[in-house]
Amino acid sequence: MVFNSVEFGIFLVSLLYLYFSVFRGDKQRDVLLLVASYIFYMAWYWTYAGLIFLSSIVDFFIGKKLYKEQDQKRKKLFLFASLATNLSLLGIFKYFNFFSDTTATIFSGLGFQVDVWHHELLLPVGISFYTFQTLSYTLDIYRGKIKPEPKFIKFATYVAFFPQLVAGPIVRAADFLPQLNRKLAVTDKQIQLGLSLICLGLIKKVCIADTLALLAVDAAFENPQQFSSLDLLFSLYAYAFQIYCDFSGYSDIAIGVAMLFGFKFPVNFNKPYLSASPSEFWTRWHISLSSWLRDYLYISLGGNRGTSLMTYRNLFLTMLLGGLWHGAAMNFILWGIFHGSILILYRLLKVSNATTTSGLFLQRFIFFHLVVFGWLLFRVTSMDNFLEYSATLLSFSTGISLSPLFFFILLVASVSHFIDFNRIQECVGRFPILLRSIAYTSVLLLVLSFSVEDAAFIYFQF
Amino acid sequence: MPVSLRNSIFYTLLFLFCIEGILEYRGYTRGFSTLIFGTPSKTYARDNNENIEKSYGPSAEFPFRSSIIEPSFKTAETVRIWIASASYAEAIDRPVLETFPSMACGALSKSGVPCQMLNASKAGWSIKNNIEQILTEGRRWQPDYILLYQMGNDVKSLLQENDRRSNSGNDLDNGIFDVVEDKMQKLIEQTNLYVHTREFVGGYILISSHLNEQIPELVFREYRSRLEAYIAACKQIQAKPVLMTFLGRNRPETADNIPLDLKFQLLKYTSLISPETWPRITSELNKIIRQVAEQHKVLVIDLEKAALDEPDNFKDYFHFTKIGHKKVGEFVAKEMKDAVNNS
Repeated sequence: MVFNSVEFGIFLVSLLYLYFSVFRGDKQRDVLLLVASYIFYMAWYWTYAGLIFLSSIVDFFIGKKLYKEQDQKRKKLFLFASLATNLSLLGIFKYFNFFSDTTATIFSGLGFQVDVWHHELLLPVGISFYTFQTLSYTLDIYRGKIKPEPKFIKFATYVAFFPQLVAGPIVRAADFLPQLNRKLAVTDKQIQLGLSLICLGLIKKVCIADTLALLAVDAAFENPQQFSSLDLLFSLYAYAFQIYCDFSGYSDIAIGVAMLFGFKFPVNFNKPYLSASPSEFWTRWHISLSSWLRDYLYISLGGNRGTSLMTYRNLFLTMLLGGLWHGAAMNFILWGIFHGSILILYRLLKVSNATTTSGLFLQRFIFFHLVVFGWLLFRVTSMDNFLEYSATLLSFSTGISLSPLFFFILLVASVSHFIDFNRIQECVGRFPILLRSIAYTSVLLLVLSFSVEDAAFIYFQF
Repeated sequence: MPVSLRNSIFYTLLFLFCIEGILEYRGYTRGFSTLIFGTPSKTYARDNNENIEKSYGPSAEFPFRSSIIEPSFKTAETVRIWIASASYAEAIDRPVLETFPSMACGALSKSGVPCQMLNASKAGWSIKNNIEQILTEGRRWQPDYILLYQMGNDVKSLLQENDRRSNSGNDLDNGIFDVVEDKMQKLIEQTNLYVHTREFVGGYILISSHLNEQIPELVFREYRSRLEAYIAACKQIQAKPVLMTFLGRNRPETADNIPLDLKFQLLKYTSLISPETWPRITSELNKIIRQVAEQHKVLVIDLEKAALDEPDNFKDYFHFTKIGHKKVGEFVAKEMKDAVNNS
């Protein structure tokens, strides 16, 4: 059940009706949200719902033990149990086959023939997200930042809450659990903002991201040699906006849907392509993941508390693992290494934000192209694909075969990235209800018009 | 439910329903079946009193779109021809006598070969459906010749099969609502909102995109298998198989000049291949038809070589106009007369 489907629309409207009009008690609503979240997940693949439940059960009980335990050694053991359970699940489903193949390749390179075993298990949707979410819970309890949630239902809802279950944002227990324990309070402004965010997310995902993919990106990456250098360059720019609109569109819908139920999720994207440096980029792109990596990996490794060399090491390792988080493939590792390297490079060169407008523009322009190169590493399907794409891109062949519609959508994507959505939302919020409903209807018709093919959200594969 | 949320959802659904209602009424008045207003009471067949005269099928006892005959009503001189095809030969929008099977039979009879026609064509059918009907009904009707005119639906289904095989394992297709989702999707595809938005915007997006131009090997392989299975089915009921090469509106050499309306139509049919590839597919599969016919010593009615693929003969890429049906019918009659005289 993807967000841009009629089934989800029916599911959401039905759930909202039940939430506000039928199940009026707090406990009833907790059960409703939990059951609905599991139903949402089981609409994908019902057998894997057990994994979320396992993760929830383990971390719920470990959280309680962690809080009560006074002995540091035993505390560490409990934490280790939580880490081991969650990371094992992630390791088995996501990384096992990749590491098997890599081991075989290494041994093969050394002259040894090794037979490796592969499992046929499908990657559970959202596993990277909900395991990180439950890990943040136990880690925060271990660090004394939060108390454990006494009620399993609330904790299970925190883990499985459907708007952010499959592709984030990764919500911290400290942010979400108190909201689950508060009395329901939804204002009209929240509802307007929620509905507007859902509309914005749908437009970004369907009208921009999917259309760019269909018009150019998919074909360009599948057969780069059939295109000219200019085509490939614009396709690369298009991919930068495709992934931004796809992922931020999903986040917008997730945040908007959560708002309709009275929950406030943190912003996950903040005009990332306005960044002038890598460190700024990671405060604007996939903020929930980058802050998770900062708080639980980078700082745990030592952060910048040690020598410069140690800081660079920590940055590099954090970005490497951040790349690996995205997928069990060499291109994601290289993408992580690339971002780690430019983070270190900018530190080494002590690059700070320019004080003049032209200087800042130049910095942003340069950094944007560094990010775009990173997206090339991210998008390719293999190293051969990367080499083929790069070679054709650098052949400087002329001619453009991309359609005017493609350039129009790319222009809309570029411009929309810089628009302040809050102002538009405030303006729309002042419309009478009938006019707002006409706006929502127009958006749905626009989304229906552009829904040419069924395309999953890019981050579902992580 | 908060009033603003309830009102927003209510008015949005109301507007969507109103737009759908208006579009459906417009479609209904133009003779299309609709979800809300149903099917218009007047159909082509009733307008021409076909059912009232009860001269033509299809009916429960006579599953063919031709003049009704009894299975045993056949003289030694009469040639009974079975047409295995799809909408190209069924042509539900045309009077029965203006379809090429009927025209072929009429022309054959006029030329001195008494003919009975069993037009076993059904819109949406592929060769597999034709074979199934041959095996279930063929022995009862004992046709002398079975003419196969099929390509479009088989190509579409094979492209879909290839797409499914390429994408298997990518989808977590084991959800508890998969059946409901499929039914929901089919329902949505019947709404006018879906049809109109796809046609006007979706079609233009697809035309602007880089669609696949590679014809999967599976299409060639499986089409050949289907032709061979059809020949085997004909022989099983002791009928002579006859293959017909397929006609599309454009020849390969004019593939660059496919009109926009034709592109839209082909993309509505399937978006798994670019519109420009269809003339190439037609040409390649026609070569396979000739190869299979030569290999199995089966007669080929070569419509492609008869150069009947001019635009005037077609109302879209696949379906004939009145002139097209006439020309194809006359050519089929001429070829069948030669075949009958030589047998």
